[in-house]
Amino acid sequence: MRNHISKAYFFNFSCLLIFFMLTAYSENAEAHAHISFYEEKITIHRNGSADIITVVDLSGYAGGGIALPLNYIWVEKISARFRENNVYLNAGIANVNGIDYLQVSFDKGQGNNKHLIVTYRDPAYLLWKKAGPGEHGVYSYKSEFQNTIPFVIDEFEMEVVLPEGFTIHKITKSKPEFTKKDPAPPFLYTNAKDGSHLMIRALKLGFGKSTSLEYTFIQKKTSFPLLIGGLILMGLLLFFFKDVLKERNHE
Amino acid sequence: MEKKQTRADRWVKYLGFPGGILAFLVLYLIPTPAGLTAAGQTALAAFSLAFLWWVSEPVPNYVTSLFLMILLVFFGVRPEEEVLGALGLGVIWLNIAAFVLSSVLIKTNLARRLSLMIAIRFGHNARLMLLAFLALQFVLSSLIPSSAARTVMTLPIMMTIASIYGSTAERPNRFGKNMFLFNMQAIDMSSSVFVTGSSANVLATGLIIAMANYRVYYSERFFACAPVVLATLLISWYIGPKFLFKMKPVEMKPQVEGGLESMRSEAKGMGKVSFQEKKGALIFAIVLFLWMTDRFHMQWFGFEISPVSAAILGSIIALCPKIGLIQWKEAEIPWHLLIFSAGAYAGGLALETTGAARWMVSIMLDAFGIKPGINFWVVYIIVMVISAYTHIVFTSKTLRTIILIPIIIALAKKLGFDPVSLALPAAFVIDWVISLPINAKPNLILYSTGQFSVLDNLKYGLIVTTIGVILLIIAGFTLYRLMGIIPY
Repeated sequence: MRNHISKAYFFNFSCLLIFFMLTAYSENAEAHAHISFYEEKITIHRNGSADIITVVDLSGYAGGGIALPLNYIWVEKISARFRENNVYLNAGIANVNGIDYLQVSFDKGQGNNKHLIVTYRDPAYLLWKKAGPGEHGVYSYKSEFQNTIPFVIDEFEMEVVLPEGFTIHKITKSKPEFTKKDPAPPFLYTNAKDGSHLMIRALKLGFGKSTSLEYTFIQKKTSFPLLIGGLILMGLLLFFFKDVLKERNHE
Repeated sequence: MEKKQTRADRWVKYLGFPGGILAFLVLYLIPTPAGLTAAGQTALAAFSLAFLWWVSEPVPNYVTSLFLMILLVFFGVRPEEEVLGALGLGVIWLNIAAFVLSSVLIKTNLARRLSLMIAIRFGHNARLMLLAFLALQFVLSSLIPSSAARTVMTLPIMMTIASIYGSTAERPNRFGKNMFLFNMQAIDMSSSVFVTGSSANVLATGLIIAMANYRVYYSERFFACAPVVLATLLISWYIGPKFLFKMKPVEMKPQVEGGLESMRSEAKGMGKVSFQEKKGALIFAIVLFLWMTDRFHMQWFGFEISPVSAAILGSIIALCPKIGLIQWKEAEIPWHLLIFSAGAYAGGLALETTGAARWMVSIMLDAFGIKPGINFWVVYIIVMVISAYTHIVFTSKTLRTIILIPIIIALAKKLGFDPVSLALPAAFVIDWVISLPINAKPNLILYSTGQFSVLDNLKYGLIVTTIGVILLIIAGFTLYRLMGIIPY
């Protein structure tokens, strides 16, 4: 992720709180301090743009409208709706003290027990020149999510779909970290028909906390020369080592 | 060694070379399977090539290892410094120290004195000699948690006895194969009998307590595991020299001119224990003391001395001018085998760090299509088979424990079975790492003696693993039900 949110914004926390009290909070702020599930799916295209789908479980949320973290510098084509009734909502970008948020408007209590789906596009998510290719034709990138709202996200999932024709090479680093003591990594990867998917899961993601995945990816292998070279080598070995089959005593 | 190759041996060697390349090409070029990274796929392809070459030996095993390392670097599986860094792993240093310490005992004649004592006692029957080693390794495993330390400790005696029976690194015979491979099995498998037999056992016990809320007692593990392990090793002891590496009558007798009589007179002629021998014994005793007291190191010294560091410390004393006993050139360290070890470890680590080993475990479990409603015994057999045979692709017992035990506990819970009934027997087989030199430190140390090939190791190891699994399944039906480990 390219944007690094300045530490200075922590000092503006109080201003932000006022903003949220006006937009998202109702009379009982404590009751809304949690978001049970938050998912962000980033589908990267070959031109470096990415379609992002955010799904937020608003169970128990009684407020009117909500501001969501926006970790991208440049976004367009924002659209928001509730999954349950397919009602489209007004959505846009709000800037508070230099920090961008996705602001979605709906009536007070309208979001309760619903899933909010926000879709938008980052036209320059993947900067190819920055990503590589490095040694062995490997591209390196980092996908990151930072919770910039004063809600604790109980369960967060980020899914990245690599550009068509590319496959995951290696996960180089993750946050939460995968240690030798963990029975399973916090991340998953899979190669499906629609591309290579990477997923990371974080629990109890509080305000200011982040989760990230650093990975390398490569173009799918279609190495015809390697295949031909290998087959020729195999033929040569079979020809030149025929004498191995002859019966003899070996020292 | 004069060895007439069979027709099958020649074909394996002939086809192994192109076969390895074919395996690499197929595994490297197929579309990356779901759940596997490209690096993991390449690691798997490179390891398959190396595996086929190690087994068929169209080129010396160290050449294969060097090629494997280069493949891992060229194809970007791991950075060059990490791949080449395998030569600096603790297991390699332990190998070096093992050869230094063994040379001390050999040079001072202490190893020969001890070996003559054993050979005179059991020398009339080579198979009885192997049985004596089984007893020795079993007792040692209850005292020394580090299997590598036990190997280093008994290595000089093994080497000297093997040479008495005419088996050396230059001219290994079937006695040597039986002696070293059977000891490998005894060292590795005896570890599984005791909760403290290896760090993997301690870890598995902790996981079972934490995830299945069940405390595994020392005695419970001993009485559940010892019968299976001892029966497996006794069968191995029977079939090894009798069928797999059938010893010729001449190989079953000491290759010392004059036979046992001459050995008796040689032992007499050695006289009293010399000062040099005492010094050698003292160096070994210091190392042994450090190995046996590892749990107190922190309390005594404020830091822990690992088995590798203890062995290096012993080597320093042994190599020190004036107080030491040998010079560097006398240690005769087999560098070509250390290169093999480093390459093999680099390959194994590549499988682990890229997630390929974990992926293989999961596809094996998926392949059996275990679903709720399935009979417990079907699941038990599948879990034991997977737990036992997955050791082939791992270099670390602890990593295998971390991957397998939680999966098995979760699987048991999902299917509605008592987690302990699957996880505990599965934990017993974690130390059964007997098929390849890379599977465990003792294997590498013993392989470095040059007394057996990778194919010998694989053949004997897979057969004994199969016997062990069958006995574990039988124990599941009988003993474990009696003990209450399996309530079905």
